[in-house]
Amino acid sequence: MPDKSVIIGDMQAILPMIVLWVTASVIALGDVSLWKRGNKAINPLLAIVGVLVAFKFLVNTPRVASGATAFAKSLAIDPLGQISGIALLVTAVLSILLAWTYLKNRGLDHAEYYVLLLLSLTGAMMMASANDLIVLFLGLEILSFGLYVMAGFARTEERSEEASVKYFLLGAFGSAFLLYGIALVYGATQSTNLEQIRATLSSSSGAPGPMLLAGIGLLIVGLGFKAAIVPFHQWTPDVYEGAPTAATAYMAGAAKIGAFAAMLRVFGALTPVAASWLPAIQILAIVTMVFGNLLAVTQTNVKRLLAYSSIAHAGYLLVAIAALPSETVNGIASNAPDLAVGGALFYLFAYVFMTLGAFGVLVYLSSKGRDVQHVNDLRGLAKREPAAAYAMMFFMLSLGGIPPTMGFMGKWQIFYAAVTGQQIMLAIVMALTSAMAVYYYLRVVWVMCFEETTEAAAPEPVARTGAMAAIMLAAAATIVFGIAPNLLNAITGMGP
Amino acid sequence: MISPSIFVFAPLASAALFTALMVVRSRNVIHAGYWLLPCLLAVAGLFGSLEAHFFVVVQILIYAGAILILILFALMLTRDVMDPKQRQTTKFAPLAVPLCIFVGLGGALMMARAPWPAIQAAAPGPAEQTKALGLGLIGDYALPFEVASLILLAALIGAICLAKAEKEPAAPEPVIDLRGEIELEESVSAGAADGH
Amino acid sequence: MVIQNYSLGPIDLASIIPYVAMGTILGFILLIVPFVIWFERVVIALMQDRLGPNRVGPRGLLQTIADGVKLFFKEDLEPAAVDRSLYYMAPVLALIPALAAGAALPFASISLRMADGSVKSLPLVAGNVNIGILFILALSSLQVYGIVLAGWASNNKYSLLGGLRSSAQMISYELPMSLAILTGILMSGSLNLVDVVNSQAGSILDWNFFKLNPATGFFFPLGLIAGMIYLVAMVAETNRAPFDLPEAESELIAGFHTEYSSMKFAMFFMGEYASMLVVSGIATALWFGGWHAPFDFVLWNWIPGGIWFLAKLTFFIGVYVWLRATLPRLRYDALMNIGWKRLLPLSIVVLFAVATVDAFFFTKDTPAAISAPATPPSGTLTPMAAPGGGQ
Repeated sequence: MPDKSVIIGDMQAILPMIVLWVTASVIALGDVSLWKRGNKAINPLLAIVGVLVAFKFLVNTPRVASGATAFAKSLAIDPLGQISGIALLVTAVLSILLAWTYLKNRGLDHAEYYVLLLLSLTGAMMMASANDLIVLFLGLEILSFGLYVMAGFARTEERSEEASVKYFLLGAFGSAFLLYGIALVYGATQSTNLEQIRATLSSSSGAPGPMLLAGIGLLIVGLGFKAAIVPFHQWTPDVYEGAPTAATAYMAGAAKIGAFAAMLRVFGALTPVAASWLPAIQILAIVTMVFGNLLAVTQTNVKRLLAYSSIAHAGYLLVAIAALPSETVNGIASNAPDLAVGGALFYLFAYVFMTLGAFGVLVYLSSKGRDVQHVNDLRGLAKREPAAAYAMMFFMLSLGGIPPTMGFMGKWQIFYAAVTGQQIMLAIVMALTSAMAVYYYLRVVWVMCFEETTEAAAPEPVARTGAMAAIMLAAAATIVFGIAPNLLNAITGMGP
Repeated sequence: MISPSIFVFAPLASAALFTALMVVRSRNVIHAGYWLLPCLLAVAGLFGSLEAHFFVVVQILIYAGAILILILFALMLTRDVMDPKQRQTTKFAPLAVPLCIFVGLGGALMMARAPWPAIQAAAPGPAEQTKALGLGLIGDYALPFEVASLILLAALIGAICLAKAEKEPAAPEPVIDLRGEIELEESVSAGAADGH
Repeated sequence: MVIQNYSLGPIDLASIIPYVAMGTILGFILLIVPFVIWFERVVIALMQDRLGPNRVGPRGLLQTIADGVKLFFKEDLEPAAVDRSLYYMAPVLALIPALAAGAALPFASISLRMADGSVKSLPLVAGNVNIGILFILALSSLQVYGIVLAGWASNNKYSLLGGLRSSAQMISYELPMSLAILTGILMSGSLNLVDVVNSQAGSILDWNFFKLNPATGFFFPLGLIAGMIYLVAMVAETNRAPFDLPEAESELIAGFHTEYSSMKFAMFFMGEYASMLVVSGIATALWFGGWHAPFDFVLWNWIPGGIWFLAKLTFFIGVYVWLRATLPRLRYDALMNIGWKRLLPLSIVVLFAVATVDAFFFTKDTPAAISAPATPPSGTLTPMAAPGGGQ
């Protein structure tokens, strides 16, 4: 048998994921046998407990700093995996709270939702710490399978079904690209292990061969599908709009974190051949930032607006990826890669808090007969529901990157990393498009504060506790970490 | 120099290509499904020519024996599939054909020109092959192997979740209540019977 | 019984064994089918207290041959709306996999005295594939195509229902069947059917079905359960009563072969019986000691192994007939319930139990072999060292 300490180390590395899928199994089995679909509150509670236990184990993972690996190098134990794991768990807590309220109000309260959420969370965490392209792909598939079903969870609604099918077909398409890319990269480097790939690439001289180039291109397309990068973004608005709002919130957070953590890893490993893929990433970043923001301007549905906004944010995150290979600037060693990784992770945290908070307000306002998603639904909200309106205003300001919110700090960090990495062009586009974005975020605020409601009062939602808790958590995080960003670094062990 | 293995490879490869083309070209979607069978078997044959016996069997067992059957099963349960007049092609065919040819030929050229490293070790015999595969699955590739089962679990739960019967909504009230009229008719006919 | 290894130039007896075995198994399956049908009809007639075939030949023995000749000369009818190519392919696809699966079935072993005087025991098998059992499993999984194809191509409601039922049924029962086979493989420690049979040499106590020899393996009730699961699944896989829903005559006329006549019908018939013979052969080889005699007994040690194999095979054909004569057909939901809710969990539990017992008491591999730094399979799978040398 292998050494006992090796087995223990391997197990410690995946302990959080084990906790998550065990919790998922307990909910799935318990719901049909122990509490027999009777007590609905026990499912989200158990899920939250599971996520918190996983959080505890994740934070206490030993050997994080030493750059260790587990399972024959297929899993990395490093800060990147740990911190994006924490971001994923935060997303999970918030979206479980939202789902608790939303599913109850919409009469969709089934245990399977939490089971799928936890399973896909396991996949996302696997993806975030994958050190091997095979593990990365498998993690991505687990994440996606859960999301496909969650998007179609409101099965009686046509739009939800459409969202699910659309997401599934395009997601399968994207996965095929990714898989083909992995195969070609394996063909070119004789390895699927990211460390090994990096070593092979940096030791080989000469221009990369066509097979490697094609492989990298397909990897970009495949990951671009998942991260909703223009021009692979077409599914995003429809899926975000059609899926149940709680599922949209989770999708927005988890898929983005998983995809970008994976991108940071993959492109980090491909740094030695950065010259071949950097221009593509730069162009994609510019296109994504410009089109994401431009298309968001005309949206009248808040969920679609947030979808385009998530595309725009994916563009900002790509800027960080573009700064990744700048290991030396003008011949001097630069800390741009570290800044880029740190900035991207901080930005992901900010993105999670403000986006899930914004979706949380929609969840908070939705009731059985009325699914709030249109801008007009928010008219006069400041008078009807002042607390919700102020929270929404706050998230919108943060999404627009206005100080002193977390959104501003995130943008600033990525901006700084881009400037340090000599990506001046990207930094300029980023600043300009961010200014453009303020328009459509503030329009929501305008509608809430200065327009009068025209319709009759909607029926009161049945339950609101979960959404309220989630909004409060997100709002507190947005302001606290906006003012004191180092606090987040201290909590997660992030940063230099 | 032509190695004799080309006489095994060429027929198998052309069979796989031809049948794959027929899968795409068939007007009838069930026929397309059935053309997949020889295609998968030809790929199994290619594995065989590489002396990967385990993969031959797995290819037949999993792809031909299970997955394709499920595809056909689903096709047969799909509406309108029985109608041979149903259009099975898209209007993008003129665009797709050159694209496919370009991607296919480009890929082939790319792989043919790639500097493949020389095979260092001779392929192990069939018995060692299976054993090595088994050891690899519980050794170096333990994590992907186990994680794959998690995918199946997620897919299983998801499929059940999407397919299970939703609680039927309460039956709508009949729009026209005919009960009174039926009673009336019955009493009339009863009266008629009495009168007779 | 030892045979001299005659040789004629470069060809000796040992080298032509696979060809002999191929001819034997093919001829056996093709020629024995009429007699299996006769056997079935006679036994069922006995059980139902009637005479059965008794006109053609002695005791009606040639009745099936006469039927075959009749089918051969019947008009080849083709209904108007069939899907022609698939319609004609279906019977072929029903027959071929069954015949091909026989290729990996070892049915006897002969002892040859080699030129140097040593005695070598060689199995009589067409292809001594190392993963023979998987090969048979793979081919038998292709059998469902013939039926599904026939059901669809006939363009007939009853046929289609039969085909759909059959595909659902065969897929469902393939799982417990495979798991049961896996259990047997685990008990024998090899995927090679010849090794599997040889691991059961000795007495009836060494057969995987019983397996209570403390020296080599003690799995007693487990092998029995797995063997029974296999036997149930084997009947379901071949679409025989009480699992013959694809051709349930009271609901579906004749199911998938409603529209088939003459030789095409005969081929379906042949395919069904050929696959019965093959799965019974697997049962014999995997659970009941193959060609080994139940006891080491002076009086019958001269009997060749092939005869023992044939005797066991006949027993299973008898079981088939017996089941058909006694059990009513299952309802469809009951069929699915048994497959998914009873057999599948049970077979998984048995597999785990056998694996546990095997790992803790009868590990054949030395621990070193397991812990050997898991060498990734070299050749096709190895992540090879970087061309430039790497780190």
